Amino acid sequence: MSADVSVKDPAARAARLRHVAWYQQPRMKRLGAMLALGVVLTMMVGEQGNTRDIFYSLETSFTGVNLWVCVGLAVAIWAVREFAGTSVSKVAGSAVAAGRALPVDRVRTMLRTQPKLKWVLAVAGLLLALFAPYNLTGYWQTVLVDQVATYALLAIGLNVVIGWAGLLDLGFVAFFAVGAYSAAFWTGALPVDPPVVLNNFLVIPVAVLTCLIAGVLLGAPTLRLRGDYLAIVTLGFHEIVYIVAKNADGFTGGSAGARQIPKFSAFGYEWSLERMPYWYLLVTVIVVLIIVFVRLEHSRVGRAWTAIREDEVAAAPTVWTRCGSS
Amino acid sequence: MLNKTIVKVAIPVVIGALALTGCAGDSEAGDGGSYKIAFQGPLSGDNTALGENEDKGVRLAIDQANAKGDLPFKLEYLPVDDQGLPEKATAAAQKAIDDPDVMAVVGPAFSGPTNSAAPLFGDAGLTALSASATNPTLTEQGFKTFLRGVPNDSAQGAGMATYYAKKLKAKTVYLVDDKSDYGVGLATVAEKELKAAGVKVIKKSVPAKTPDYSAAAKEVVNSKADALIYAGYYQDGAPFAKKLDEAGYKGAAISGDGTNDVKFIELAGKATEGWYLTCPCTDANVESATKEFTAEYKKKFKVNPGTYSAEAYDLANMIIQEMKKLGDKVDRQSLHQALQKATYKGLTKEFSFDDKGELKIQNVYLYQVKDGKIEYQGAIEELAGS
Amino acid sequence: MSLNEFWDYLVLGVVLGSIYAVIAIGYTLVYGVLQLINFAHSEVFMLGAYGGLISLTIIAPGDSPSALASVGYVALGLAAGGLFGAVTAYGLEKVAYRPLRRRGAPRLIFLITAIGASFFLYNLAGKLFGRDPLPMPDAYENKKVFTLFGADLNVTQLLLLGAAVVMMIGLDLMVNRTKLGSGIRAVSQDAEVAGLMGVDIDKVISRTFVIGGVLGGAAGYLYGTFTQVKFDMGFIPGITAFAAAVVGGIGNIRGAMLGGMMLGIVETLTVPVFGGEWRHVGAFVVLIGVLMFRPTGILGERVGRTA
Repeated sequence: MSADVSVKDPAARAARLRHVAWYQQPRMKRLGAMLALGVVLTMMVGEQGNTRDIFYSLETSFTGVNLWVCVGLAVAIWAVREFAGTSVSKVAGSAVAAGRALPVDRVRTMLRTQPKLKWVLAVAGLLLALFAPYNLTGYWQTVLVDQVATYALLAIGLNVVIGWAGLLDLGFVAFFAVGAYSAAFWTGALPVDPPVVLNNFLVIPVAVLTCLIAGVLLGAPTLRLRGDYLAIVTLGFHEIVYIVAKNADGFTGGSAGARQIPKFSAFGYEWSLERMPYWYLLVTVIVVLIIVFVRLEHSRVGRAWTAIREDEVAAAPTVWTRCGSS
Repeated sequence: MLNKTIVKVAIPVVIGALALTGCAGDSEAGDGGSYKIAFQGPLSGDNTALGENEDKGVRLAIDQANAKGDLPFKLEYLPVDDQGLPEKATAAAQKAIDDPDVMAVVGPAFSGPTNSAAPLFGDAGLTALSASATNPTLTEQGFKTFLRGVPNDSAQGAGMATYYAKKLKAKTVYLVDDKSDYGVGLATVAEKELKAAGVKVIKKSVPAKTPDYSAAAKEVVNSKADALIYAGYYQDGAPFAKKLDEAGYKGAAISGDGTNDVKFIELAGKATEGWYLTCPCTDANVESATKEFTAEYKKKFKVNPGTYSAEAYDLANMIIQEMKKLGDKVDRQSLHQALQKATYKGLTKEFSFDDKGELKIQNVYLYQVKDGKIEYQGAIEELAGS
Repeated sequence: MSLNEFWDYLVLGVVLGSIYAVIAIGYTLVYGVLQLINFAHSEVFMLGAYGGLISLTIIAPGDSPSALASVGYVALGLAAGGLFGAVTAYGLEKVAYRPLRRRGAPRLIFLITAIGASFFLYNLAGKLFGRDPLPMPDAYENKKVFTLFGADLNVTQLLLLGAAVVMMIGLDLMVNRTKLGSGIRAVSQDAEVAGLMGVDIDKVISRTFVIGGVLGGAAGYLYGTFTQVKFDMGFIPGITAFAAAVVGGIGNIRGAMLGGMMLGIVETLTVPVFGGEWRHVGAFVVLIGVLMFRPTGILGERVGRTA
């Protein structure tokens, strides 16, 4: 290969390499992206497809008004951002600046300088959570109790594992199942009788203990695994728990599960299917847990979790890795 | 800058809007003279064909009653969707309970949701008349307002067992359930009856939503059973039937009302040829009593009535009859008491309930898939020659 | 269980395993170049099945096509499946993962985005195509072709096995003999240095996704022929295939093939031994067992520094 690298008119060659076609300009790329978004939006708000005619949904979406509305909206947003972008952000900026003059921002600075104010807000939030649901319909109250409170509890727990300890645990919900089944077991609702039937409130620490044991059982084989392996093993563990719960008929009641679990009762008061007393119970539990976990975050264990999250290898010699994080 | 501002503004607005929709709620308290009949069943998710059949039946009944014009009140329809799942059933039931106009519910359609929702209906005093929840244990749990408008699986399982034992004289029966409430209930009854008749039973479970049935089909063939019972729904019965055909299974095959739907044939094609299907329901297209119903149904919905459409229609009409008797002051308690004691001669059968909520008459009918169509054969007791 | 029956199940397991192997390759390829578990790959698989379904609905095979026509229809299904899979995978990379890479997002964010993309795609498919299962139109008559030491093999099983083997061999050749393949291997080992050596990282990653998508989509069509097509059909084969990729050694393509075969066989053999309801437990117990004794998978992992 000769060393002669002479090129006719190197400047023009270089210019051609740098040349960006009109459709590759960032502006047009953004337009393309917005158009694609418009099309996806049309499909999303279109008719529900049915299996008698698999093209039904696509046909109605793309031959109707929806398509033009969604694509038009997308193109309009693109146009505003491209051509009026600076002026709109100026307007927005001045609105935000005007907002800064409002009490909102003064409140924010007050919060920073007077920590006691946080307590006031927290109590206000608590009162809102306790009394606002009376204005909602029964359906939304059920949603609050069934779904909102349960997911909040689960999220608090998940926050510890994934947020603080940085462990990619995809099978966290398996512990939800373990806790539920142990609660059912110790209150005598499963086909197998427990040695002693406990009150619902006493079952909670026992269920926590069972989950602890399950966590250790899960942790033992996975101690040596790194992030992504941990993810798939916990996912596998979760599937195993699900399938065992569904199939071990004699012990877990199979897909029928445990019915007629005794209601919570303490000091003679029994929680029935009434939603509001149950909501108060759940809010109390959530508040207690939040307080406990906030204290835990700044304790020795919490700092250990933070160390693990930041860098497991560096943390290993100085911290007992992974103890008790599940 | 603009992107961040958009996001900062959009998110609170969206959350606020969602929260406000919750507060709005349906606060129309019973505006004098309008009542609702609700239907709970799978209208989305899996096995929706069974829910939609009943939904249309109830709709037809309500529309006809309104059109006839002899009601002292206006009747409306409220469908609630529980996706056939026990977890979703409580919220769906709550929706019906919260609406003060709802006087009775036709449903829940599936046995699993009934288990979860019936206690709620009981506490609210709202009658739940199911046209298809066949698990035998449902009436043994002491639900206060549950009435079963369909013969339960004790009859269905016994019917299957009798047919195999007496008519087909099967020696070994391979019994498969799909681990749902319905499947397990049906399989338990069938097993008991078959053993009582002296037939050898191999009982296995193949859960619903198994992606690949080849191994299960291979097991059936290797076990040399000459008859098969599948207790489950059509969405899984169909691939199972297909794989059985591929594996070379030549014996008899029977399944229950969860598989008795034209979609079973659509999904599995020729593999369903010769399958028996039982149902505590009659075929609305064939019976002379339901010919007019079928014509009206076809005119309104442009499809043929399916499994339990006529039964749901009958139950809705039973509710309407009792409501008429109560005049224009209908409330849930009185309607429940009336329905508990009522007798109604419907198109499909005569409805009257015993004190547990079970139907007094327990008839099971047999169908067979021939040439890609489900053909009505007759009452199973007569066919088995017992 | 007699030897004859064992052989029957083994053959079924190999057939199922070959599909898992092809899907696992998709997971492993992406993990190799990006160190990302592409959870949305199961939706690529599912959309490939729908692609095959749509193409065979538009050009319907009719009642009894001739042998040559059958081959044509199957090829059409495979091609359409591969196309849908490739487009989906390319779209995923461009929309979901590239912006995150540009901003150096932490690994957890990639994972959550992948899960979110997976949810979005399968619900969109459910909305567009209905939520009931659909049978794949028959392009051929599924009769028994021959008997291999006593186990029957019909056309579908042979098709699955054959197509999977061809795809795996093709991929192996591509990764080891072509320029793109060496690009992929380079980016897997060390993306930054590969960039310094003149490899266009973005293009290589994009093409990796496309290749994984073609394989996954074609596997989807095959799986749809084997069972039925439904909007959530991707979930369980997806996690089993990912477990297979991990068992064989993540990032290692031959490991993915081996892992897929192993898990398919284990899953099928669990059915007669323990019962149909325990089939997935068998696969995951094997996964945990392998990882306990050999934490980097059977053939060892092949991952380098992140892109």
